[in-house]
Amino acid sequence: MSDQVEAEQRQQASIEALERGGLPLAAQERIEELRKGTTAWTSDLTVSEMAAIQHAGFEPVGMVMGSSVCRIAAQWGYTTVYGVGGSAGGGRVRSYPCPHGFYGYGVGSEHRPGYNWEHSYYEAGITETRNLALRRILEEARGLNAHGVVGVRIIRRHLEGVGNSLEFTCIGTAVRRRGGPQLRAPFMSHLDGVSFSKLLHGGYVPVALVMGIGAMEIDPGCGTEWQLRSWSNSRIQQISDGIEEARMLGINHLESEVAAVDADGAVGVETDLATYELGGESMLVELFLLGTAVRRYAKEPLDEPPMPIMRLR
Amino acid sequence: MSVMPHPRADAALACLAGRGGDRHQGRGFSSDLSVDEAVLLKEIGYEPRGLVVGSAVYHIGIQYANWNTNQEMSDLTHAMYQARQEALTSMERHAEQVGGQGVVGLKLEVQVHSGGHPLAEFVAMGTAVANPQQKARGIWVSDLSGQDLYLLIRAGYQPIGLAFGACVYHVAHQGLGQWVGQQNQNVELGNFTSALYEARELAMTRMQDEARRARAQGIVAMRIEQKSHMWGSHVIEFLAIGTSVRLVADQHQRISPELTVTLDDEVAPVTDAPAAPAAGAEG
Repeated sequence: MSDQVEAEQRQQASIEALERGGLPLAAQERIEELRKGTTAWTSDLTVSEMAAIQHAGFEPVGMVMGSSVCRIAAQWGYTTVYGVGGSAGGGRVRSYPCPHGFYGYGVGSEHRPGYNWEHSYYEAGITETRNLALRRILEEARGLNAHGVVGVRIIRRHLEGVGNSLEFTCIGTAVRRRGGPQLRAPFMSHLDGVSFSKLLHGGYVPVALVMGIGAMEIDPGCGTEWQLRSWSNSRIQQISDGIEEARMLGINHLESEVAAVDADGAVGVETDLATYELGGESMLVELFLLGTAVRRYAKEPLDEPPMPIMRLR
Repeated sequence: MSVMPHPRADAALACLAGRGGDRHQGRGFSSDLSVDEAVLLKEIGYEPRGLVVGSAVYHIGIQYANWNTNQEMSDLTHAMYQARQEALTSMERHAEQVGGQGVVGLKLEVQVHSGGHPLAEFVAMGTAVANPQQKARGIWVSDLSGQDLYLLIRAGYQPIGLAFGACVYHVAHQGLGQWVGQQNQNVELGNFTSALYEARELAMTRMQDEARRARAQGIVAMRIEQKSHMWGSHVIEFLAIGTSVRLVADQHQRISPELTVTLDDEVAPVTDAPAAPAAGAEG
């Protein structure tokens, strides 16, 4: 019985720690143990990654993670705020007036304007969830006096049975260079250990994990719907615009995160485009980008140019 | 434990700590280049300028063909070609905006949306790159990887652009009598063979014409994609696509690769780029 009470108390303490912006008890204890050096260091590096990291002058100190589960609130649809300039979250909006000349609302249900609008509130929710997870993994890395985290894997999923929920978890291996300068924020990279080593040799250093998200809802107007029902081959302007806009937003958001961490660029960007049907003809197009922001520290080429080889097997 | 001296690691950490570093000029970029590609492109003077995209969503209507004739569906061919062209044009515009001279690692894809309408999204996506030492003469686009471009440029060639040709073809159905008559024989289905030949030739000829118009000397890494998209088995699109190149050096530059024999049981992947499709898988 007392075990149960203790478990409940620990859980309560963990939740309070999370609310204060700290780490749950289990994570605190794990980091403390690793920091004392009384236990073996942990890492999810393969042998070749491990060798490559050592070759680049770093050593692994321990596996670190950060995680957060949030509810992403529903956004008021543009369909409910006709005539208001700008969507509820202050994102981008583009309208497609009825091409048949029925501009007023209520003329007939088949005549209505179309709207493409950005779900900026939704985007902000996902970004915030990510920020929480990243803050926690960095907290762990800082606790280990690490210089950075490599091979960060991102798990992004909706929890089953919990409406509109999003879990964002990142796991990686913290690395350190003995005698290196203290960094205000450890670097983070989703590149594996071998790529990290090659990046460093190529004159770039990772800075942070950066993300870009673009979410656009497309509510087709009557012009678009008529086009969809036709027999001819034609470009659907409204949907083309919506998808392109979602892509542009994602790239712009990624590039502004690159600028925010004072990096030169992002490499290895992975993109993921998803389309959700929202009922009726409406759809939500979401582009998710994730990459490693890098700074160039040396302009000169590799110490030795790459040697071309031909494999005889 | 003593620390191994490592100038690169120390320089990198000093740069992160806010002390120096030979920083990039210009805007912050995004790129889907792998590390290998980024490092190799830097070796030949190219810097990434940003991830660029273009997209065109088309409603692909229906064209009727005679049940029992082989024929090109020219309306569909036109739409499929036009849509890709628009996606590319819009991507090139984006590349110009970010100051690119070329686009590497282009992915040109068609995504068919399986909703109530026959909608197809044509997407062009790649990383814009530029060489500050060179003057731009328009934008070249290539579906080659960074590694391939490194080799190509080291060998003295310059990519000119993407060359592609499309052909949507209707393959005739067999008559019932013919079908019944052939049930117990091994026999070549002549109409299928000749239809596939014809369609492939048309797509390739169009691709070659494009390359010739761009004054290219050749096309590398060409492939033919054969897909029915949303039309069922008797209507097939052939897409011939490759990167057209021109020799800019006086002659081909020899690279003289070292011959190596790996002692591993399995060949370890040298890069993290996706494996090339098996040779001879097509055509």
